[in-house]
Amino acid sequence: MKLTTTQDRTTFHARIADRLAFSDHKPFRELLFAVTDSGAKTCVFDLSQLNSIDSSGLGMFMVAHEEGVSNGWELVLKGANEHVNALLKLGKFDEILTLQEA
Amino acid sequence: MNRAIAAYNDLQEQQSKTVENRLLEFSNSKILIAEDSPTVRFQVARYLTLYGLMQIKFAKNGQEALDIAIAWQPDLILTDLHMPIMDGFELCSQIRANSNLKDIPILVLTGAEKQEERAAVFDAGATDLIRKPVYHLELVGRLQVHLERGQLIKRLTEYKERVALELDLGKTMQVGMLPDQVLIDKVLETYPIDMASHYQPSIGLGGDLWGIKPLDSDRLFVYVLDFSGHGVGAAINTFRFQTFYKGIHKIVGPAELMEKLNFFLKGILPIGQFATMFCAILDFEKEEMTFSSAGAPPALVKTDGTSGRFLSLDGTGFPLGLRSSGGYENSTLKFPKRSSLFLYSDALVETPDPPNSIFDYAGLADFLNGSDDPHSCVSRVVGVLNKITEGNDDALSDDVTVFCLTHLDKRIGSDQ
Repeated sequence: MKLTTTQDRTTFHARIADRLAFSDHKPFRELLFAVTDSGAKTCVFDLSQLNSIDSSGLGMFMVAHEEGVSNGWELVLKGANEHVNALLKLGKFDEILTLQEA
Repeated sequence: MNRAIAAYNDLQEQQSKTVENRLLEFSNSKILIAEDSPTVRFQVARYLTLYGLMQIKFAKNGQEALDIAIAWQPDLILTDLHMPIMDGFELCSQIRANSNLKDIPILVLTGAEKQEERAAVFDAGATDLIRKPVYHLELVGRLQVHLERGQLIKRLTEYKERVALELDLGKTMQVGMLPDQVLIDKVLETYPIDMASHYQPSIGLGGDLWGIKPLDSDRLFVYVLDFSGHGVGAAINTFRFQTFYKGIHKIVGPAELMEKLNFFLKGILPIGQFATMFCAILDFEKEEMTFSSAGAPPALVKTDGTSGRFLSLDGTGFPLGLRSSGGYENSTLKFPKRSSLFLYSDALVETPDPPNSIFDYAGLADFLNGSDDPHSCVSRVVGVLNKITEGNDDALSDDVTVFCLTHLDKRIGSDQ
């Protein structure tokens, strides 16, 4: 996972690039703590540069979703490429998570 | 001159009594000293004993040292460079070339050697240098560093070996959950099918599982399951699944089974963990297949005989354990003789990582359609695996399961 974060007054932006997989569990947890600590009301994961994701990565999105519900921020997944988008739809994650096109 | 050396040694001994003994915890370490000078042997050994190191052996040349090292397995070797019969360079090389000795730290005692010679000793395999005349505090400092390092490597090696043993045991237990040859033979005798499979966890243990279960003389239940993640955590979830599965006495339908399993897993899996699953009941009398999917990679089915093509079934569905209610539904399609079903876990279409994967869903179907031996399940399974690994199993970074079944005109080995 290659991670770039920025923040404005109400929104936390995290660009998650390259690949999101099993081995990214720890930095991903730290990212979620950072989002909660920022006080942002919305967290946008920019997935436009994310080439691939494994089942652990999909699970991390679910963890992020729950973290947001528990701490008062909303998660938005934005700009997923065709491959990642297909995996999100295969598991109907699009019916649980908020997806936005780029 | 001798009086001067004796005075110097006395001074060092006095200092050794006033400084903290940093070698206390290494008092059981075995030290081999290879040195042709009796004076230096005596001096170094005296320092070591002053710091509590009592297990010391001596060699007068490299060959003696090598023989002792092989028989005694020292924790550290102190060696001179220039000795008769075998010098320190050759001793270092021999130690490093011996698989039982190669990790032993070798500290070379150097005198007036040229810089190039001192550098060359590292090429030969030395770990560190100590200048002669030996100053006891330098000797102790370097011994501490290298004995600590040796101890750490030893502990790590032991830990690694223990973990490997436990993983092997776990793998044996996990493989024990897969259909054994007795069940496979029974299924091949009961139904008019050909069948082949491959199961390979990525790191000893995995989150994949597949299974078959005869329901009656005409109907066979099949499934492929893949827990999120891999390794020990995912493997433990496969055992949880097995606990559930063994408790199921009657399979009404694929969707009904998955609804129950979803409820079971939702109650025990933490957020972020789930399983994808494809399962089906194949009815060879009615020549149909009823199936349901929980976000599994789309199953491939060929239903119009040998001239037909593999097509993807819709795998869309909530993975198991994600929500309280999965809303799974059964679908039924005709599965006449010469139809084939090909199931797989996601590693098959994610090796190497996308976007560089060898197969995508459509590409996998195309490959099977172009298979040289379209009737053989084994050739299909072996063919796709060889294609993605090119013979190198390390190419797989995730667990992989492949299952293929073909509905034959008659049972294997029967006339009917």
